[in-house]
Amino acid sequence: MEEQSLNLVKQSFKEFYFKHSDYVETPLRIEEREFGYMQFDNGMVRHLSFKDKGELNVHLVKYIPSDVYCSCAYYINPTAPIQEKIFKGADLIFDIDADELSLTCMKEHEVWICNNCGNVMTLKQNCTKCESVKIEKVSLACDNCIDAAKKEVKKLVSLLHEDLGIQEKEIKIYFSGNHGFHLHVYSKELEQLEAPSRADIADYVAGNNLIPEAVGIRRNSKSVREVISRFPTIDDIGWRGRIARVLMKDNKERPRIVKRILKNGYSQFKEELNRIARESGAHIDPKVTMDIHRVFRLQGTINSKSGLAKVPCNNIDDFDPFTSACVLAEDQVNVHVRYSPKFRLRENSFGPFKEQTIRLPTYAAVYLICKGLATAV
Amino acid sequence: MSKIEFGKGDLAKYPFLTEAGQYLKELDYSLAEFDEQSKMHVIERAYERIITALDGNIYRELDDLDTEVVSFLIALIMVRALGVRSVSRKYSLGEARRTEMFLEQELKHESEERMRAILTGIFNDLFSIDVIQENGKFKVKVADYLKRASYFHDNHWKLVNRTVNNGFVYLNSDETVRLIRDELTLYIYDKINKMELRQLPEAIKTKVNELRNRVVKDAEFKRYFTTTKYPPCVEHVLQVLSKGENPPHSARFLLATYMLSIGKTVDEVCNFFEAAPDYNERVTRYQVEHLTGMRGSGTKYTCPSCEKVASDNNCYRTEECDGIVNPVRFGRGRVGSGRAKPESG
Ligand code: SF4
Ligand SMILES: [Zn+2]
Ligand SMILES: [Zn+2]
Repeated sequence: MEEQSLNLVKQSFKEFYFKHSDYVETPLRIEEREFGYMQFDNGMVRHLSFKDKGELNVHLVKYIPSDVYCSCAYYINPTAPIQEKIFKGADLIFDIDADELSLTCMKEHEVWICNNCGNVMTLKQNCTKCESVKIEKVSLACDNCIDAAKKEVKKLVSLLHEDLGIQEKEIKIYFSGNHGFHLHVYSKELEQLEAPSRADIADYVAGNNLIPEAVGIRRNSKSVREVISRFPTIDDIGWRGRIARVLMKDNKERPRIVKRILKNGYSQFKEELNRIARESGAHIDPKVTMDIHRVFRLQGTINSKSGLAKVPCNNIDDFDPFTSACVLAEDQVNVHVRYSPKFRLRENSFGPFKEQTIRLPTYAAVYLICKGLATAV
Repeated sequence: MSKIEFGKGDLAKYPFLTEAGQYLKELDYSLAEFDEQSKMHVIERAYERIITALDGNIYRELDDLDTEVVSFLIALIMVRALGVRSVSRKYSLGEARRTEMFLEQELKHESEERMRAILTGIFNDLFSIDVIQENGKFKVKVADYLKRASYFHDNHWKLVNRTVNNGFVYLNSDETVRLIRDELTLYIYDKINKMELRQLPEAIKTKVNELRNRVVKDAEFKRYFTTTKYPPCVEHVLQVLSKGENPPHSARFLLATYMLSIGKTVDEVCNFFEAAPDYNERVTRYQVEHLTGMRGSGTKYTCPSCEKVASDNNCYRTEECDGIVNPVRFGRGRVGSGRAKPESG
């Protein structure tokens, strides 16, 4: 980011942390957490710890980080190097990103930016100005993206609740500050689990690695009668019931379905099963859930990929990130926009823009600068 | 819930229960008595228990209470006296499999009350896992399940392939028993290590020697005794471990990747870590498998270079290290080819 833009962004972040420190949440058991932050021009700082919210706030205003992170883990020595921290437990976390959902609206609001000269292109190609191959995708999420991500959140919550027995009050949902949602699960029983068990949970909610045997289909299965005795009904609990409800409307259809499966064979059913399971499961990033030593974006801080904040969604259906997470100031500033699709923030619609200098509210200007589409003038 | 007492007959099946120890006290066995001819059959029985386990089989005898309980305790003493870790492990596994066999039978056929005794007295008291019966099935809490089954290999054990509802995982009786195999093994292994070795009667000493000859002749175990010359950095980690201390992560990584790259199996590598105070079989195995690329990302990890080892403060260079750049080249000269030769036995 060149200097003038950097100053604008930093100034707006500073004002936010100064005036709205109440947004920043104090994580549970703050003194057992590791904190880290990204600096605008100086890389990552990790292994910090704060004993309370006051200490944390002072730090934020003083250093004005571009991004603030907090461990999902609880440690005995949060500031020690990783091997000596001593793991006590960790919240179970999930990351849902609209960018990963292969949505058709993507092509309307994704652009490609040359990392070398900043040229913005609507197609994925080598830079048309400097021929550099280092190009990066940038997307301005739309309402459709958010709705799709919300659907995944709801699937995830119901799997966690109905199957894994996690109480709804143990689940906190946040808008991630960019294109998606973060779920934090605070459960005494699950916090002890190590990485392999968390990988298992991630696979469970995503419907990964389901095998035909789990619904009674074996490699050498031939007899319909034999298979039916093991085949799920639509009233079954867990994944078996979920699969059955996709395969049929009524239990009377079971013989017909089983016959069809046996006719097509094990391998073909395996593919079908995996397709059904992936669609019924929640699209999460399993790496995030598995990693117990990850530092994860802190609730109530600003995401420097957008200038939007990570904020709680208490009612997912009504939640509008473009209003709730848009927390920066309103004062008008001048920016030069290289290119931007249409986007909405608060009640206002902006763009599309192309190579023009305009006056925008700070929150919208910072949004475009953070996305790499504009510069301060 | 009041504690459910096991009957004396059960102790023959589950001689590791604390009740068995009390029973022995009541009988007032003293070790010296084992020099008497009349006790020879118990020593023979103990020997048989060990050999059966070492051969990978399950010892199925179920005679009178005295013979089973006492032979179990004598076997623990003998294995402890032998002092070969791999034997202790194999024996523990053997006894765990035997227990598993009885538990499986009982959970299938026994009465409600009997079942409750087992679920409480073994699953809950020994391993703090709540097993609940529900319509002829068993269920355990998701967390209790994952702490164990996430380390099993078969896809069948993956949570997604189980019936899971409202925080519980449903299992049949065999699966329920399988869940605690590792803990049973560790529990017995622990018992071995806690055995006091005072003055052993001659009859037992003789039998231990017999066991030693047999074990050492066994090619599989021979490898553990053959001292190969390891590079000083690796030797150092082994020394730290043998003192019962916890080496730092970087040193463990060095040891594991070195051993894997000279052709040791995952089992063998795990064995090296057994002495560490924080040893946990499941986790160690998982980590070692991870290094081989069997798990996780599939990335195979190689032994770090001497330079890296030195920067981690784990290098203990001697003259013999002359000119090598990676510990795996130790003792094989600066150039050379191929994998390490199998150790000659
Ligand atoms: S020089 Fe290499 S092989 Fe020798 S001790 Fe150091 S690290 Fe190990
Ligand atoms: Zn360019
Ligand atoms: Zn969209």
